[in-house]
Amino acid sequence: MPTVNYIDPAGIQHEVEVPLGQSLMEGAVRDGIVGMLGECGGNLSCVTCHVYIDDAWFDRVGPALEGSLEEELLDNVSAERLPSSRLSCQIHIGAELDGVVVRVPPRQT
Amino acid sequence: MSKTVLPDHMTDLLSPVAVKDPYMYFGKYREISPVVWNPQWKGWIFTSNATVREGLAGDTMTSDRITRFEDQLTSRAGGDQNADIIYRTMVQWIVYATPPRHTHLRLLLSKPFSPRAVKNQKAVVETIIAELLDELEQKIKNKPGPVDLLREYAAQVPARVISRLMGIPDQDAAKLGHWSEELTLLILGAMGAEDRHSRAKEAFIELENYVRKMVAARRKNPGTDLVSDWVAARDSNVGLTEEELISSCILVIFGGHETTMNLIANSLLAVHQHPAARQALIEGSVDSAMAVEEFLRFCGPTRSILRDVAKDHEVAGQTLRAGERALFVLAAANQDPGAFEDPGTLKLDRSPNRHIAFGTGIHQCLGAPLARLEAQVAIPEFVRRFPGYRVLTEDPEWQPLLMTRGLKALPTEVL
Ligand code: HEM
Repeated sequence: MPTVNYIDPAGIQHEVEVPLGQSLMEGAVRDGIVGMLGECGGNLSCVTCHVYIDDAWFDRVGPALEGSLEEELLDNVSAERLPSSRLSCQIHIGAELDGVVVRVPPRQT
Repeated sequence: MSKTVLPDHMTDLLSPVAVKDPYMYFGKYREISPVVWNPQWKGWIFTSNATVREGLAGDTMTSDRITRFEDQLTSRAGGDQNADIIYRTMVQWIVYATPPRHTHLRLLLSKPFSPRAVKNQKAVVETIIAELLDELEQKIKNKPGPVDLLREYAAQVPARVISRLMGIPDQDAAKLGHWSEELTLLILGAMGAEDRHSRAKEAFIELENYVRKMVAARRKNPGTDLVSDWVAARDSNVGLTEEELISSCILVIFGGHETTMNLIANSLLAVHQHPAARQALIEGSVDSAMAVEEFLRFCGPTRSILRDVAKDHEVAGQTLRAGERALFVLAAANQDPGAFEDPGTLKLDRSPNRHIAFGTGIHQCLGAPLARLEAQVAIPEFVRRFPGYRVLTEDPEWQPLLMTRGLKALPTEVL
């Protein structure tokens, strides 16, 4: 199973196994990562699963697609929107993301 | 095919015990089956955290129950004209919309209620609550004696906040609150009380007229409020109709009123009943944001949510058929021992705390960031201003409403 490294708002890194096909949001929620809400359950309604993708991984993950709902909704997030910002419910784990590093922002609401 | 049916003596969703202690009442449902058929209500009742979450977030259910409302409204009203106006407004509400219209509408309405926008309203909310506490203090000085905290404080908070955000003068805020409370009877499943139904209809018509005038005024004279923003959006042809604009204004006035009011009142009652929680809030030794999450879980204002089954499917060993109705009991999901340790205990620093008080799925509460902010200020600030407040009944009466967990009154000695 691929692993995902979540760095919580306190700076603590959590290595979590996330089954192929699941989203980064689901992996974090199941593990109880502090600072991750994912309140709407992956439906692009709540913007509370915001993450920053680590620079070293950003090329592989990529930005939100231009003109997509995710892209528009990123303007609504509570913490600062950075070029590496994504809504983690929209990133699904494939083998190529094994080891990916993401930071959970200080606030979601 | 399988269907677990509740025994007859357990089917009254508004029995005295179900109203007084829905956590215990629906806990018994959960023990029989987390999804169970209620033959009196004629629908499925979901009570475990997992099944509620799954049902609301997935695609097995639909929120488009508005045709049911049409039947109810027109049959009650005997086809009168007011019922028709109400129906035409409610049918536009995002709560009943399905994708792709829901997606479109939600994006258009989301900006002013987004976490980003609400963060910037913190100072406004703090100012309003300080004013309300000053007014309450003054009122008690002028006329000592018990007050109903539900009306004199809890209801004032959402009414004044939404008014300020919408550019509505403070003196009209109480009127909006009053209309909203009357409307609850029509919309949130009050039983009986026909005269109150006609009162609710009158309130709706007055609110609708008020909103139409307000929209016209903002169109002529735009301000920096959210109504002006929505009017501008509407007039720039992004695909928001005039009826959607009007009905959405009504929805955010109404939708945030009862809910936020009841959250604040329920929480102040809970604090009264838990001296350690009171102490922690007075001392500031607990994070207000965390505390509010626990109030939402422990005594949140939404008892349950309605859906219709969208397609035949199986869940928790039950066979559900398209067209059947389903009740998602958030109160039960939030106190499910399968999801929370000591679910019946108020722990203001509970973590993790994945409650579901704002629902989940596409209809997850649009106003959640605002409601959280209001509660995070209104509850601790009240307790710090009046640290010795005493609720004057140990057994307060709850509203007999299907979808709401709210008090009839909260008589309190404010000290
Ligand atoms: C403590 C306060 C509140 C609670 C507990 C609450 C709860 C909820 C719940 C459970 C839903 C989902 C309904 C469903 O799925 O059928 C919802 C939806 C909604 N709420 Fe709230 N609410 C609160 C405050 C507010 C406020 C302040 C607003 C003001 C904007 C608001 C506006 C809405 C809207 C517009 C929807 C429908 C969203 C959609 O259909 O996409 N709520 N709320």
